[in-house]
Amino acid sequence: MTEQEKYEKWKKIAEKMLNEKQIIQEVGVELAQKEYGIEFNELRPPRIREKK
Amino acid sequence: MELNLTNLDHHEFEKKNNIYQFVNDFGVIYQVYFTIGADYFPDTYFKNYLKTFGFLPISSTDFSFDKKTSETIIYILADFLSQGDYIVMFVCDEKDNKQSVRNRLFNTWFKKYNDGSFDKFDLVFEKTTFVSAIISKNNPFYIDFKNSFPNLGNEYK
Repeated sequence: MTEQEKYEKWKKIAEKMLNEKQIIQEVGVELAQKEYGIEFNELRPPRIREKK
Repeated sequence: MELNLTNLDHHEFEKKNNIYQFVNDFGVIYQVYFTIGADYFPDTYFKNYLKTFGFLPISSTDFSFDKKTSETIIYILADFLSQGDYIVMFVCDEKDNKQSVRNRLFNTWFKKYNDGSFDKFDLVFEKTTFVSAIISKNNPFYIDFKNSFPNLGNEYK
């Protein structure tokens, strides 16, 4: 892949990421998932904080 | 490699479906999320480790941070990165034209809280779109992922 092609690829990625972010901000996480098909990564429960 | 997260002063946060949520000292509710990024590089070995990262206040339009809010977000990000060979990408929100301010803030966070085990790659498009990626230097896909970036010494249109 040429440097120009890499640049263009990342430019498209940035645009897609911005679009995704905008959707999440506008409709919220739940609707973004249900209506727009945005996939959220499964998360583990928060660690239990150690008592100091 | 696991970062030392114990020095971070963070709010308690909870997992709600597939997001983390916390309330800061000003009563603002924040959500922190990671989305699947496999489609960005579908033909690579690292596609299943690519995630996009984002956070937003859902009870306010105020995006300002106090230190504990910042450290909560950083804690969540660092903890996520410690769970596997993830590569986390993010883009600075542009809707209020403050993306360059955000970019500087994220750079400051990275310099302050990185213990040296992570690299951050940055790209700017048309001086207005800031996208970054954080990857562990020990990530097995480090070289392949780094090679996906254009040579920053050149100018592109």
